[in-house]
Amino acid sequence: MKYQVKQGDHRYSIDIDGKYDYSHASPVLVDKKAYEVLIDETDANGDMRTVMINRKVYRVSITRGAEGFPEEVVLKGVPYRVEIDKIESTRYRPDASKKEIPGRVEAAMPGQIVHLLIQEGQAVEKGQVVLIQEAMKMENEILAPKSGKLRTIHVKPKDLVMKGDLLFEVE
Amino acid sequence: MFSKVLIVNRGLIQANCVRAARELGCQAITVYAPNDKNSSGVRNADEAWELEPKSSGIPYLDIEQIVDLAAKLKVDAVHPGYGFLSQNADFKNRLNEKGIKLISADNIEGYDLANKPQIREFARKMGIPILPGSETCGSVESLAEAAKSVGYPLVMKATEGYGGIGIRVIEREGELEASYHNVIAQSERFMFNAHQVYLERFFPRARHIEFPVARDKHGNTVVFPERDCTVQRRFQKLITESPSPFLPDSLRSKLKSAVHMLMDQLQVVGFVSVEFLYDGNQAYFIEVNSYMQPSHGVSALLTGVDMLREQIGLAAGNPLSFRESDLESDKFVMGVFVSAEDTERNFVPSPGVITRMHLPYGDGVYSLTNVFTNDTVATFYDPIIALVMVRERTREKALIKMQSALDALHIDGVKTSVPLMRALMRFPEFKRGDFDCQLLTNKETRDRIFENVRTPTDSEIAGILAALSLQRDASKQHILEQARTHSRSNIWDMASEWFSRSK
Repeated sequence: MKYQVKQGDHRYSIDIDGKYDYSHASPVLVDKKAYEVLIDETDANGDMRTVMINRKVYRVSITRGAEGFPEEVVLKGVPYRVEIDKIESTRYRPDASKKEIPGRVEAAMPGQIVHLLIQEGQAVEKGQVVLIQEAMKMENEILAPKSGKLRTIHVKPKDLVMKGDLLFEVE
Repeated sequence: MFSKVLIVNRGLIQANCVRAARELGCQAITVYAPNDKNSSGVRNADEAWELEPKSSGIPYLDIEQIVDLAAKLKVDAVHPGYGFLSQNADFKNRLNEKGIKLISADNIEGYDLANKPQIREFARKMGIPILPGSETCGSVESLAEAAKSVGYPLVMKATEGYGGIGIRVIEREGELEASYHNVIAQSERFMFNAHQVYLERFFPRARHIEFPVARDKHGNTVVFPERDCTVQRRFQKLITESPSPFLPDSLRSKLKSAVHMLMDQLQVVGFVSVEFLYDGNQAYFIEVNSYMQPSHGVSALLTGVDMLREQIGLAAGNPLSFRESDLESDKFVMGVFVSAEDTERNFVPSPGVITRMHLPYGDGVYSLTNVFTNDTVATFYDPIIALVMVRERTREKALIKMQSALDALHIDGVKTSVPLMRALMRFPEFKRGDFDCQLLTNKETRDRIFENVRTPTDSEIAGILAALSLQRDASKQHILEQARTHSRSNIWDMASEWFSRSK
C-alpha cells in the first residue's frame, strides 16, 4: 500500500509491500529511497516497541487519535507529530475458491460511500470495482464478487454506512 | 534508640523509612490506605495496619485514627515521611500527649517552622535578606492591602504549604480574589489552617538553592553541600543538582554561616532544609522545611550519609555521628525525578498501568523507585514515580551519564517526563547553566528543547513508522476478512469486532 504522511513541513510518500511482515528485515520505499525495516519487538497489543531501520535501533511508541490513526510517533523519546494525508486503495478481494458466490455485498466496516462507478442494471465483471467506500481515511474499492447484472444498489454517494449494511446485489 | 517506629506515609518514602528503621534494629510498623496494600513499604514492614477510609479526606491525614493506632500499638515514635502530616503541629502535640515522639525537627518554644511568615520575620531580624512580602492574611481585603506594598507580580502561598501545594503566581490585582479561593480550595484537602496565606514578591529569574542541615541536642550542627533545585514545574522540583555549580564560593560560605546562625538561634534539633532564591547576585531566604525532603537521596549519594537513619537517631536523642568536614567531596550528583505526566499537555498527570518498566543501570547510576511493571499510577497522589541519580566528577560528565541513563530508562503504559528530561540533558542552555526556575514552565521553551534533538532522518523514520503501523492494522483486518469468508462460524465476526474496538 502507498501512504502519504506529513511530519512537520515534510511530506513523505511511503510504499509498503504487503507481502512482508517485517519480522525479518524487509524493504520499505520512502520517496523511492529504500530502507530495510525489521520489527524487533512488539508489546502485548502487537504495537511496535523496538524497530531496526537500516540496522539502527529505535525505541518507539505510537499514539493514535480517536479514529485509530497515528497522531504522534515517539522516537528515541522525541515526539514527532504525524498526519496521514492519504492512503491509496486497499483491495479486499472476496475469496474466489467458494463454489457458490453470494451476490450480496455488505459493508465490511463502517464508513462513507465516496463514488459509485457502475449504475443499477449494468453488467459487471467479477473483480470490477463497483463503488468506493472510505473508512478510517482509507479509500476502499469494493469489488463485484462475481460476474452478472448489478440488480440493486442500496447506497448513494455521501451515504454513511454501518458494518453489515447491504451495499449492492449482483445477480 | 526507639524499639517501635510507626511509619505514616506511602510510596517511596514509606519504603525507605521502613528500611531505615529496620537497619537501626527498630520494629518497623506501617499503615496503608486500602488501595496501597500491595506496595513495597507494606511488604517489607514488620507489621502493617490498614487505615479505614472515611467518606471524605485522605486516610493518611486522619489524625484521630493514626494517633489512636499509635497509642494502641505502643510505638515510641512516628515517622511522617514528607508531605501529609510531616509538619502538622496538631498531630505533633497529640502524639506528644501520649508520650510518642514525632520524627521531625524540634525548635525553640513559641516558633513553628511550618509557619512561613513567622520564620521569615525571624530571619529578617537576624539580618538575613528576605523577599519583600506580607504577614499572614486571612481575607481578600487584607490581601489587597498587603499586595499594594509587596508589588506585582507576586506569589500567594498557603502559610503551611508544602510540596508545591497551595501556591500561585498573581500578575495583577484583578486575579487576587479568584487566586485566594483557588489556593484555599486546594489547601483544604491537604492542610489544616487552609485559610491563611501570605504574599511574597515573585522572582521569576531566580535559582532555587537549599541547604540540608542536621543538628543534635548538644548543638552540633552539620550543614550539607547545597542542592540546586532550579528545574521545577508547579513549584515542584524535577531536577536536583548538588553541589550547585552556579553558586559563587564567596556566597556559598556566607550562606552557610547564615544557616549556622539561624539554626543556633532557632535551636533546631533534627534534620531540616533551609531554602533560598538566588537571583544571580543576592540570595534571599524563603523558608525552613522541618521534614526530610524527596531530594535527600541526592545528598545521601553525594556524602554517603544515610540521612533517614541519622534523622531517626537524632529524634531518639543520639548525637550526630559525623562532622561537616567529613562531608567534603569532589563529586557531583544530579538527580532527575521521573513523573507520570504528559509534559506536552502542561504536565497533566497520566494515570494508568505501567505495562513495563526498565530501570537504567551502570557504574555511577542509581535509581530509587517503588513502582514496577504492572503497578498502577493513580492520579490521587503525587505523580513522581522514580528518582534517577548519577554521580560523577563534574557536571559535564554527569550530564553525559544522565543522558545514557535516561536513554536506558523505559516506561510503557503511562506518559512520563522521561522524553523531556532526555532532550533537556542535550539542551545547550541547560548544559551551560543558562536557566532559572521558569525553564520548563512555558510551552515555547519545551518545544525548543525537543526541536533541538529532532533530525530530518528521524522525521522520515517517524513517517515510516506511522505508515507501517497502519499497514499492520490493515493486514490484520485483511486476515480476518479472509478467515471469515472461509468459515461459517461467526467467531471471525467476533474477532473482527474485537479488533475494531481494541483500537
